[in-house]
Amino acid sequence: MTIDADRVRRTVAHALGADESTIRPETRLSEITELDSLSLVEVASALDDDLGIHLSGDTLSDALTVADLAELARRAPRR
Amino acid sequence: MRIDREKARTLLDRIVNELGAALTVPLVVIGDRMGLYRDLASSGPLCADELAHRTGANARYVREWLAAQTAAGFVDFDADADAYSLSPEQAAIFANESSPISMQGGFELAAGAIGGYERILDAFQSGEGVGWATQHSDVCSGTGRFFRPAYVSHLVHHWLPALDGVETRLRHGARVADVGCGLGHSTLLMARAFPKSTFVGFDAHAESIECARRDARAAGLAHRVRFEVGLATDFPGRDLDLVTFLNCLHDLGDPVGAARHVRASLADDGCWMVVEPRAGDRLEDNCTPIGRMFYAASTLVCTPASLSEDVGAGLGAQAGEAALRSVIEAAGFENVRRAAETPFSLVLEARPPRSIRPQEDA
Repeated sequence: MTIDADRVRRTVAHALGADESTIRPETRLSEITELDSLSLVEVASALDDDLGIHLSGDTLSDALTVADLAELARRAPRR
Repeated sequence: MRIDREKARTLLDRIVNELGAALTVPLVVIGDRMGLYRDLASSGPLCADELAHRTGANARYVREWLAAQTAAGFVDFDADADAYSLSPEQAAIFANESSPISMQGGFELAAGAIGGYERILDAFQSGEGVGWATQHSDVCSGTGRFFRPAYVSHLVHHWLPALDGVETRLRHGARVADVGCGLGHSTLLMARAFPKSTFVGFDAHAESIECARRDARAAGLAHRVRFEVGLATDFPGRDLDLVTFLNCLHDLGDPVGAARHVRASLADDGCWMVVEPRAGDRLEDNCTPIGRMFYAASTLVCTPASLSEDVGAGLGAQAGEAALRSVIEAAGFENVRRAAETPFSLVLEARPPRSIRPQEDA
């Protein structure tokens, strides 16, 4: 099963408490919320729980935008 | 002087917590080294004997450790099932090294600093410094691990984009020196995020540089990231686009000398990013849990490190923005501004003066 970029987008929006209609692939994570370590934990745990994608903290550090995150998710190990 | 019974009791009540916390420091490190947290996170709930068996630890020690951890609130205990487990939050803090809220490094740093207190006691009398290389090795590894989660969360997402025009240059290909890089976590995070740029991490501590090189090779980044033993006052490199100092300026013996050297190393339109522990300018502003932690670490590690080097400025880990600015401005930087901040960190951006070509020692 391939990871649908749109599911990642919706999952991220939900994890960060944002209205998903306002989140585009090119939206920066730091635009959605004042990004801190806890919000990154929330994103990682939502991707893990909802989509079975495990991203390490270091990997999350590379993802500036929702599209970056979707690309990382596509390449990430699956449970 | 008469003792106020209530004030004494309040302080004594607090001391019980303090001693419990202090004695828990080595227990957390032991749990980390023995893999106890990681095994509980991956396989819990477990009874004490199961955890001991799985990790190869002695069962009686593990049972006592679990009791102490449960009393500390670091491990959950189900009395009916006689089983221990980690909640997702406990696991993110104690078991998952790459978690943005991993805190094991802080405990490792604290354990190393406590273990080396006799050297600091001697230094109180002699006035001599204690450099990073002479501290317990847990101090270096713990410091690297302690700051890493903050760099994972903020460096690429928040701090670099807060600098004027720097992210764009990094994206197109910039030359960067990460000074005082320690184990190189910050250097590698930046290198991963900006594949067209080249990075050199410098640190005075040779063993840390060796570890950083190993990590760079393991991460497949060695072609774009070099690590070299070098001092903040004489690292090589000219016309750099960006120089970063992450939580190291206050550790230096000669921060003004380092600032002058940065100025000479930067391109005319280059940028110096200085990340330091966040602090107010006065002691009375910093009597907070974070300030307290940093003052203690500063007494045991940062200030002795600074006093071990030439000049021995001893800025301290809670120097505050005014003292940091005066160091930066003493080297001729202009346009120093607070670019970003978090509860733990202050990010300053400094630029060489416009239209003046900097000359070292001019």
